[in-house]
Amino acid sequence: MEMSSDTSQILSRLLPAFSPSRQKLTSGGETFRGRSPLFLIDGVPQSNPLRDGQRDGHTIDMAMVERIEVIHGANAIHGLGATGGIINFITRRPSSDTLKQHANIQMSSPTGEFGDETMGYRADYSLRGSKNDFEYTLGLSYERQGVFLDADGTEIGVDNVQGDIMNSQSYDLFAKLGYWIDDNQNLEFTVNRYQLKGGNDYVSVDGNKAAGIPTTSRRGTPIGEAPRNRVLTTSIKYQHYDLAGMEFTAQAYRQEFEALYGALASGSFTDPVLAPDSIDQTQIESDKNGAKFTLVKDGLFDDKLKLTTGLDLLEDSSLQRLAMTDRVYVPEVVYKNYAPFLQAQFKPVDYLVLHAGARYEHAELDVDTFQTVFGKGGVTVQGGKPDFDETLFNGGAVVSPTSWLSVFANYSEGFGMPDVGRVLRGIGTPGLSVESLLDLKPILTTNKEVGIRIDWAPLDFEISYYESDSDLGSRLVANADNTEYFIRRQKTEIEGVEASLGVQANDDHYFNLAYSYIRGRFDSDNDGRVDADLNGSNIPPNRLLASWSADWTPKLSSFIQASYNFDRSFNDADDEDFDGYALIDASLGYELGKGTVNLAVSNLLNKDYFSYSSQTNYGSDTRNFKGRGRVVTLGYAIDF
Amino acid sequence: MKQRVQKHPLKPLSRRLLVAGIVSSSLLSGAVLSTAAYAETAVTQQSFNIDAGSLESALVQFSVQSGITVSFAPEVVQGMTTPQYKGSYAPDELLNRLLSDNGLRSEQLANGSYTIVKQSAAMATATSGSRNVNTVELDQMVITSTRAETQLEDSAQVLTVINRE
Repeated sequence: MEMSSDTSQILSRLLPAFSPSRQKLTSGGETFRGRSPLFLIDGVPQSNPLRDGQRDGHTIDMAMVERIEVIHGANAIHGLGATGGIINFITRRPSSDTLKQHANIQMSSPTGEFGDETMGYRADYSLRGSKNDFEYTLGLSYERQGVFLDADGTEIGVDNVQGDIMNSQSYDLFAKLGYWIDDNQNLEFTVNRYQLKGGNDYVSVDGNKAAGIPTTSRRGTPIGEAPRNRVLTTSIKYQHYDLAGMEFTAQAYRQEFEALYGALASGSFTDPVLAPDSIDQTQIESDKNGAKFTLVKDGLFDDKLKLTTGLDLLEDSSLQRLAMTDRVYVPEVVYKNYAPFLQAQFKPVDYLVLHAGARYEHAELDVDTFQTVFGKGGVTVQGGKPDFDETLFNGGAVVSPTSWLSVFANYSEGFGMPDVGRVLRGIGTPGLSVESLLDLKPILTTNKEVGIRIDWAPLDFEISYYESDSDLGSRLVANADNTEYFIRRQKTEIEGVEASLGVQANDDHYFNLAYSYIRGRFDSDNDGRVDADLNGSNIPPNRLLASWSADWTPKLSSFIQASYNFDRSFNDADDEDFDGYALIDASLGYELGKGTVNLAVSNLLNKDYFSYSSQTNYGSDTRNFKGRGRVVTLGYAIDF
Repeated sequence: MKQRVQKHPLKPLSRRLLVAGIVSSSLLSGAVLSTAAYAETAVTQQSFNIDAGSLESALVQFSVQSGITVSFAPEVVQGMTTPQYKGSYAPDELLNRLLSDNGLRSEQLANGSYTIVKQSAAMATATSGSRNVNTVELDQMVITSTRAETQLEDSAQVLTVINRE
């Protein structure tokens, strides 16, 4: 049973280099290794870099996900913006030749107050099976989340504008149909529809960040339509496992993404005719069509060489509108990208693995001439088609002098686009042309890493040191009262250490520790040298995670996890300070004759805290949110 | 189900099984059983006392009492049960009894350990990815997000696989 269906909470509990979760719909300021992760579902991009509304973490219900594969650090494996790494949700697949069904129901409540308003409910169901040459998976989920309470039992502030997961309803419909053409050829069609929509039953009440007064909520109806995420991902994949001794995969996909933000009064929205009261709400729409082709030839030169080659195609059209007045806030930006790549894995001897590869990216932006909205100056910007060509390299080695020890080193480059839409909508100088804007150039990030891996039963241990640099990085900057954010293209340098230690004490007990140290610097005065700390909306704190899973009897199992976010003082213009906090979660599972009963408690000690993003640069009087207090979840799951 | 980070979920013996292309599953969920020694050939009778209950639990007890390594994906045995077995049995005969009642059978691997498959499924020496392996869980030492299947231990990058339990 998930203790939470919130992906950012799941990821931050498991990955020390991921920011502490904001517990909100928008992941603003949440980063992975201090940069953006690329979210994928079965390899289909979910992130929307062209107008990055930071809703890409909420595009699928976790009930549909079988495993999450994470690649740490910048890379170009899938192109498009994996400057912090890749987080790929692998969906459930048909796994047997008989029909299997799974059903789960659960309810959760803060222990501070039991009642209909705070109670959350969730149900999911899945069906999997195969018949003859067909395989199928069907998943349905529904969740209603109540209002969240802090440790004092006070309603946490609802983010009426950026969107919230508290007081929301979400559903997911997932289907996968596979067909075996013969023993080596498979065709698979997948569709996922996800929606999360706010309840609009609460209005946020400003707190006072300086005085330590949290933002709270009171019952009421905010203006405008409720914030929501609505995503439709479809893909069709053809795989041939033995095409003249090679493995061939072709995947075509489409992703339709819609993120509606809540209404607010903003100078940016002012229009003397259409919006004299300056109130509006925005919607980001992004449509992606793409294809990925991969060819793998293994076993060359006596099984020493594996070659992977392929081609990725992507067309992404993104825009942002002002939904109440039907104005265009960000004009349609069409991004066309093709990228061929070649990757080699060479094992000359048993104890050495060498990796090398290159990927060529050709990207083109196409923006028609447009006028910014009145509130941004009504400036006319000359359209254009800037294009970019980059070749990205990677190389690495793994040396294993003994069976239990490996030393690895890696160099990789990542390619991403900045938030083009945010740049375009904010242009204030007349006479500029899209072609000439430096701010639209791709973000190139290099990741250098060395590490040691030890697998000496019952211990497993890994430690790595990395440096992630970008000469023209992208930094999120707030205005004076933290109501509006801008992109600054500046040199950024991040260094960090990640370590993990696992101990399989015996068949029934497993302990895990994971730690991340991270520090980021940027060049504030554009003299080519970094001179200030990246702040809390750009970098996670140092974090330590611990977990213990235990099987007490064949029927009874338990799991406890703790996370500690270390204090940090940022040496930058704001000199902000972060006061660290520790959270503990626990769960118990008991197998009945039929089904399993699960009991989970998150924030077991009912720790009273302001979340990392509230305490640091992303926080403001409007967003001085506390974290959730203790929440208990009771569930029942059955396989039949 | 709760989720866990599993970077190296398998003991060395199991890892060899994986390299041999056998689909296996997580040690954390108690599903891959690696015992230090396994019977070279299991013909002589041994004393067993296996409680009635889930097949997974019965296989754990069988492995402990016989010293024979048995690996399986938890999904394969999910929801299956066995009656009590108390007395003297030839280990392979008992294993077959535990399995055949549930439409399963065992296959002995080159190193003498056993893996469990559905009676209809031919696991044999399937190449990775192809149909027969695909019907069982993908093994967790492999990551696919790298475009080609990559063994975690061969990677020069830091990779994490988070499995649903």
